[in-house]
Amino acid sequence: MVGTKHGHGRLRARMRAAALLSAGALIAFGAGCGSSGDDGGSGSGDAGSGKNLTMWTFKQSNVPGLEAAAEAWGRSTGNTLRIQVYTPDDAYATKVRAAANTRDLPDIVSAHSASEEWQFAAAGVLDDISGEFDRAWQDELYPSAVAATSLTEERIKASAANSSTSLEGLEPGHFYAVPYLSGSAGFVFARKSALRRAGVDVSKPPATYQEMIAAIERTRARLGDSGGIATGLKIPPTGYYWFFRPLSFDYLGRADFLNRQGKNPSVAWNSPKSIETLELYDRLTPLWVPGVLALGIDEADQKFADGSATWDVGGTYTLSFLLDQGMDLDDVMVFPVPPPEGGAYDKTKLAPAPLVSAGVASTSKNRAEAIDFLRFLSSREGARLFGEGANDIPATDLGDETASWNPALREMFAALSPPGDDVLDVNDFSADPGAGAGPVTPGTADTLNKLVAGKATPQQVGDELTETYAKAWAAQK
Amino acid sequence: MGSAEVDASAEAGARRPQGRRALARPRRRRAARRYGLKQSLTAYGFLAPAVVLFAIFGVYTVAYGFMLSFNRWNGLSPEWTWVGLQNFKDLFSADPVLAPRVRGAVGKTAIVMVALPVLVVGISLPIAVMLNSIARLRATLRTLYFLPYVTAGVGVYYAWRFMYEPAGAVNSLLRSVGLDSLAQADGFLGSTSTALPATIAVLVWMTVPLGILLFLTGLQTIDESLFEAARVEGASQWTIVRRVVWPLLAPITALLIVICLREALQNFQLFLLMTNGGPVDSTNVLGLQVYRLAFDRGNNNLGLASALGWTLFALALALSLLNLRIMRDRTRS
Repeated sequence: MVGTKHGHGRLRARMRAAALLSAGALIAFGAGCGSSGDDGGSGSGDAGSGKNLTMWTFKQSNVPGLEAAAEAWGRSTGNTLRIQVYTPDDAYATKVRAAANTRDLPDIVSAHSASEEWQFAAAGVLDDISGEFDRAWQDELYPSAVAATSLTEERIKASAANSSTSLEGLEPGHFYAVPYLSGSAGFVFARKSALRRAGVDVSKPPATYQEMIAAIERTRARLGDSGGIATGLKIPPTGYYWFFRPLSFDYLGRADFLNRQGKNPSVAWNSPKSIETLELYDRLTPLWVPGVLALGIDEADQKFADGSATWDVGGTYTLSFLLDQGMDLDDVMVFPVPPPEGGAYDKTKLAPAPLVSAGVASTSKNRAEAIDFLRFLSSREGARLFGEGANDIPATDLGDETASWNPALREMFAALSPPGDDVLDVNDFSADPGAGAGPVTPGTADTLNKLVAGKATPQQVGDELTETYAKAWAAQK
Repeated sequence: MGSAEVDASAEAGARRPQGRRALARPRRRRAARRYGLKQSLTAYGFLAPAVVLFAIFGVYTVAYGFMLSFNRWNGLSPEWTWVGLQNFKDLFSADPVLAPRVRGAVGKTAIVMVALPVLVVGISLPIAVMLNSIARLRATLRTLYFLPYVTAGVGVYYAWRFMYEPAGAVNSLLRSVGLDSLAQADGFLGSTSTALPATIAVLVWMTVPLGILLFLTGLQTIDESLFEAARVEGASQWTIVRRVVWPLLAPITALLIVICLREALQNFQLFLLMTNGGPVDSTNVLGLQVYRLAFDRGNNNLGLASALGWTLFALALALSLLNLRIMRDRTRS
């Protein structure tokens, strides 16, 4: 009996201990889940050298360039900057959102220029760096890149239409991030060896859209499916942003191009001239590689890189991916989407738009060092290290320094022009309803894919888009 | 000792134990209370993790999502914007871009909701009956049939995507057996007419094993004498399945249909990874639309996503109740 009593006692004690442990584990779990509080950011918080900083990016191809710049900066300052990449873009945005809520942000946060950086700033993720990003620093960069990242009063007002993306807490004329990658969409890549096999001249790129179509028809006829053109139409905006917008800008001219998207369009989507742009785009329909509507952006580039496609639509940023995939640089011909004959412009000019910017996280304890690195990244030395490492175009105007870079990159540099009436900034959606690239823009891209799928005629697409834009403007009232 | 003294001492003696008992009672009660308290604390200690975790990940998130459906929020900004029922209006009529898309997604989801249960029940029941009627290799075949269900989803989606490509295994197979006319030049995911059936086929392929397992479990609970009696009466195998097996498996069929409906309404990952809703929104189902509203870069609105999510929940609940009611009535009759 005594033994049993003791046994029960021990059992009860064990049960209590287990219950305590169970509750303790819960508390520990809660503590682990809790905010890291003041631990946000990295480093000790004192100014000077010997700091450990972290930077986040969403572009894998930018990592070698950023690491090269970080290493050079670290050597001169005694600090260390670790580059961390999270892909794809959607996962990165979610990662930043989660880190912002738990105050686990890095010191430096990358963001899509002239859109996402402001959303991050409005949410308190990024600090206002207008005080440090002074005139001397701005002068290092392409003027168009600086202009595009300066927040305007109009942009703030327009953003108010959508409360979930409102920028009303931000100051006009202020800066919240510094662009470090620039460039433009609207480039076509071609595989020279395949062109030669199909008997297409590789000494110079097609001068007009019609010439390009004729060349693709030739490669398609001679090489079969692998002679077609690819792009990631599974993500519909690629066809619209990267190809159709430059094409229709060249054909319609700036005024009509903007007017078509506007509130009271005299050149509506179903006007004769707009229908002609859709017919031009529709000429590509039989020339895409099979299954193009099921190809993601990377998959389309991979098809081009492995020889399953002779042509590929992308942007300045596509080149680095192609080289990563093992493409021979000498086998690549690159040129901007050529202007159609009979259009408003006879040469395609693209503005070097800022593509990726970096800002200082509001939780960073190493603000001074983070700013110092961003300043270094904008310098000629930092930008050169970044550009060469990433095989991409930095936001800093490097002038003649690019002459020694790879020829394809040089070709793309040559196609970029300072702002002007006949120059398209591919990221400028200010004429659209919904304040920039709002819900109408991806909807337009989806509708354009009906042409590729053979589910609608240019006239039907034009009519549908006219109705969509009219309704979108009416809803804005 | 006089008699009076004896009486008094006897009375005192008799009273003494009563007094001790009276004194001991509150002590025992206190001890019992202490014991009960300790027992309760122990029980609460064990229960606490489950209760708190459920409160955080269950009640809190459900309430949070419900509140969010009446607000606008991009997941970043510190504050929500109250919009009342506007999210629901935008989803179904007010937003000129979003509403047609959501209506299109409703149509695609309805197709999946009809096709998935019909095909899963139609395929898994005969397989289960056949598996139940064989003695040899039953365990091996059961394991084999169950493999698709336990294979990691993402890997399966990518494997099917490669098989559906223009130069993929499905087209090659069709061409090798002379069915060139069925082969798809753009692959099965690159054409608006085949993308949805192709994705439904993958869903069916992944859900049939569960159906087989459930039906097999049900079949093994049916008394063998029922089959023998039916055979004695001269019933064919088909009649036995139709008249004996099928009615007795009605509760399991109801459960399987509910699982299929849930899958049709909530699965977005298959559509996201295989087609991203395309081509031309031909596979844009409601589950994927919720995901897009929540996470599409630059346009994300978790309020709209929550509103659509709650609409889906209400729809799923109503359909499940309706299905269970119908199946219960049929079983009774």
